[in-house]
Amino acid sequence: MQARGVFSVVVLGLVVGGSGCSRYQSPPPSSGPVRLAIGAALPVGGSSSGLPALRDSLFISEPLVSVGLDGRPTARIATNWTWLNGSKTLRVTLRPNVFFHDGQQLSAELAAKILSPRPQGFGLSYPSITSIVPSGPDQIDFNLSRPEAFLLSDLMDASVQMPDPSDKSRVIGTGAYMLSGQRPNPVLRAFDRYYQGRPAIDEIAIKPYQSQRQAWAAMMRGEIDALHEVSREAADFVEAETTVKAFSFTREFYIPLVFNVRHKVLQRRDVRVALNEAIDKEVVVREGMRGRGEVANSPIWPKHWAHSAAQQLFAYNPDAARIRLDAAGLPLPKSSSSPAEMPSRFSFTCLMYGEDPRFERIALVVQKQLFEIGVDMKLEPVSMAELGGRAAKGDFDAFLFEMNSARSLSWVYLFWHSPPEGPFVKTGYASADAVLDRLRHSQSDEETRLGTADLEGVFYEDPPAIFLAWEQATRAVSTKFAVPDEPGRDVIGLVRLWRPAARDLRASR
Amino acid sequence: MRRITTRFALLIATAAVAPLVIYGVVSVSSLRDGTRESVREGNLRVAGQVAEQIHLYLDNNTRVLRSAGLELTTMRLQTWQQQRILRDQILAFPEFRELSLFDTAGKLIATSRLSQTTLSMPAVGSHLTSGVYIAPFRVDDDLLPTTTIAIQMPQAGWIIGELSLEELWRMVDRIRVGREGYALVVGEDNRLIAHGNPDEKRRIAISDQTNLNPEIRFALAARQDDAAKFDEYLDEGQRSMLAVAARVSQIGWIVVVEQPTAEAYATMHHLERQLLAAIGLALLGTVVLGSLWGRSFIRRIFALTHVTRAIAEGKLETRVALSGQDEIRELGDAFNSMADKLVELQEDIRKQERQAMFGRIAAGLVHDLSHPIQNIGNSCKLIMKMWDDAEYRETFRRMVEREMVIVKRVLDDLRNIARPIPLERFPVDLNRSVAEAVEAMQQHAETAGLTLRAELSPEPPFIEGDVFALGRVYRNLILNAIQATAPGGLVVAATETLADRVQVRVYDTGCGIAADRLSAVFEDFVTTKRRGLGLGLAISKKIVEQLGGTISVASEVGKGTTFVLEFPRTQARPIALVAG
Repeated sequence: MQARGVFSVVVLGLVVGGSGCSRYQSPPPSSGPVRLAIGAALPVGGSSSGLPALRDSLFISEPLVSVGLDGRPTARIATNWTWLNGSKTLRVTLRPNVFFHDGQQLSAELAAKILSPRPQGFGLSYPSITSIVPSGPDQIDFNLSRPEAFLLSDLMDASVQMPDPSDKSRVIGTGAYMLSGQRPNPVLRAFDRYYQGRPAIDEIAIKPYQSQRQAWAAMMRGEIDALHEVSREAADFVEAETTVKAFSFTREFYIPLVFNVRHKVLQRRDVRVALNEAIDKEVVVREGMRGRGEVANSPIWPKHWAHSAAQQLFAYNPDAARIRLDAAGLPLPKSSSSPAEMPSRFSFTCLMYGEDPRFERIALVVQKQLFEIGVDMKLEPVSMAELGGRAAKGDFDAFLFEMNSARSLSWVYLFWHSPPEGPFVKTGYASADAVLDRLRHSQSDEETRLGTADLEGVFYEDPPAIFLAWEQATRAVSTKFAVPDEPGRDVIGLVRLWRPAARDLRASR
Repeated sequence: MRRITTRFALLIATAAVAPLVIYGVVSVSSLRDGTRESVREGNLRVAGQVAEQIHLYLDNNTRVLRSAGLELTTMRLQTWQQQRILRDQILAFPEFRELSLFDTAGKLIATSRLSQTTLSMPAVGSHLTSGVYIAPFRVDDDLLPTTTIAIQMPQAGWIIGELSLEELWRMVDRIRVGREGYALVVGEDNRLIAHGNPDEKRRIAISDQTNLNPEIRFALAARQDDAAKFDEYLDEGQRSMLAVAARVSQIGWIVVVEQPTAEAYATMHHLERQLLAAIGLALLGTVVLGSLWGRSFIRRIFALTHVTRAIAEGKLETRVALSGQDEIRELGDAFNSMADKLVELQEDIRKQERQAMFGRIAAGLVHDLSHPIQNIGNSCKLIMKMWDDAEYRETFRRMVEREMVIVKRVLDDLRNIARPIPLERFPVDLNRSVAEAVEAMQQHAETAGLTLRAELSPEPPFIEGDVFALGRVYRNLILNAIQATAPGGLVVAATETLADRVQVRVYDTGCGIAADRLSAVFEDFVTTKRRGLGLGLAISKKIVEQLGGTISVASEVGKGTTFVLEFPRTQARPIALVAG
């Protein structure tokens, strides 16, 4: 499962020390360094071992490009890019005056060396890369064996970083913050030569807590200044607090009920269509998510530039579902063969991550709605490890979890293309392979739009899952800090733009 | 003397100001008490309603739970059906986060949880109310209030539900009293369960509450004493707060409604200010109107008084002009009429006095001059016959000279009364002049059969005076004393030397002068004698005053009269003495 999906709750400790110089409006002089402490609860049974990777990717390292809210690549270390050679070469122009934390200036040669032979992380397009070479003092060429439309999407996860010679567990990047201090609680210090200007917050500390209550209590005691995650239940009350500001946004994660199309019943398209018709997604969002989410109709990011507004959608129609199931030869019996079982058209088992209460209520809502059309969905709560393992092996009937769209089509490809391309989930679903391949090799926006529309059509005609909802996340930040509120953006990712609020420069403990 | 303005002010004070002030004090006091009571009762009603709502909320959820329990235990259901029911209940009633059914032995029958249930049977000895046990409040990992309700189903086990009390928080959050009044709920263990102020919720999650918090102490007191429903205290921010408490029935929770007293009693203070302003305005109006009206009334009284005084001072031409159409105006008109009459009377009196004076003068002149003139006339007749008699001619000459002196004196007196008497001023030894006057009048005294003597000051009194005029004054006073004293009486002329003044007293043991005539003895043409112009004392007074002295008289009828003359003493000496 993707790291971001695992680390939905992140422990970040950012200690920002001292209000140093910044290209942005400098805060008034304070009596000491400006520190920011962000707390978050560890996932139940989880560990903080993945924290460094995420911390690095968010603050220390930067990729060549980022993904915008519409799914298009946005400039980061690279300022622009051009496809050449029949879309077999991607020429990327690097931003000038980008420095690594050790003082080295980024050059095309250095960037090519770092990224070669392939960029870090998993990229769908990376196997097609034949070489990464500098083509100018500030340009590098990614040469491909074939057109890969997803290369730029993949590069969003490719951090430009180097291992720290003094500590191989650390990396040196070009991000707004650099790692400082020793284990077990290193801090992140503002990088003076950051190309977008030194951040106003000097130090960031990440503090892990065993539960959200502990993290929230710590925030109320003033030990931390920001909370990475506020539960749906508590969000209303947090939003009413005057000393804390809550920022909610729709995450790029969606919650599907994924079918294993190898299941003897679920392999049937008409059954999967009926199951989709049986679900009132508005109710799922309202009752299962306390209204903190948006209805999902496909795994494609709803704000994606290529998303089709004319997409066909499943309407909630339990009667049609019943009829369809009857027609499929799955009538509702008057009694069950076993008194311990409910009479049902058929039954299947749905795995769900049992230690995260977010999914239990959603699962119950879906189970109830399926029960009403006579389908017995048994819920089996499992651990994260078991869920991931069984999903990867295809050892399930269905599972309910969250999946990352990354606001890109490459991740749709990764999850919904049949193996061996997608390493994470083996559903046996291959209906979208052809369209996904077309998308992967498209060479124009028009081709991408048409392919996306076709893909959404496939997901409607032959649904591999019930795409339930897009998740909404809420961050809480003390009003001691002025936070740029860009609708739809995760404020945690904009920490480099935070500054102390003018009225209060006291440091957090 | 109490002035009319004082009386009028007292009248306004007693008739208007005092009642208004008393009314104001009573009204403010009543307003304050009434408003406080009203605010307290109002807030208490709010607290009571919240407590009732909480009770209903818990009661409703208990009913739902009991209903589900009955359904699960009375109907013969399969486990999957029981689970379905429990899970449907969870979805239908979001307050319930988990429902579990246990048998009488405490074994789990069915649960809404997908994994292991977190619920358990109430501990032995837990207090049940009608078969219902409500666990102490706690905050879960999501910082939300939670409790557990366990209902004992008759001979069928227990149905237990984990109840999220978010609705309780929302219920409390919705309560606003004014802008800064909030409700809060304190549990039976004196911990804060809910607080309507979003910034205070953190205290619930921090779990560092102590009984030292004023609202907790108040809730504790309210729990222990039903009568302790109100209190005012300082919160942790040192703000004065009004708190009222209501108990949630059947559980030991206390609902407190807290509001800053400044806001709670703002209306009262506003009304107080308005009332005080109104009373102040009424008072001011009363005083102003009273003063204005009083002034118009008193001013006319003063005008009358002023005119009356002017009349008394002789300004008979003064009249009063009073406005209005009331009795005061009539009084003014009557006064003016009286003044007119007074002027007429005065004219009449003056006319009469002039006539009387002229008559007296004429009579005096006739009397004083007829004799000399008669004598002269008779003598002229005789001289015609006895012109050859040289002796008679001499006698005639002396007689004419003597009578002409009398005539001249009378005419001089008349002339002198109207103008300053020409006096010479030289240092004069009063002892000598008084002694000479006494000696000159001895013959008169002997003739009258009484004793006349001089009592002179051992220290010679010297004054600046006219010896001849002073002699006339002494002789006039002595003659008047002799004429007023019966034979055998005494007349004394005495001198006395004082520090800077010299005194001459002429006193007798005569008949005295009546008190009503005493003040007029020095007036012109006033006499008690049958004959004479009555100018003697007037001229004497004039002489004394022209010499810088004073003359006064004291008398008692039947005992005698004393005339006192005082002159400024001089250090100068008469020329004869200086030379000698």
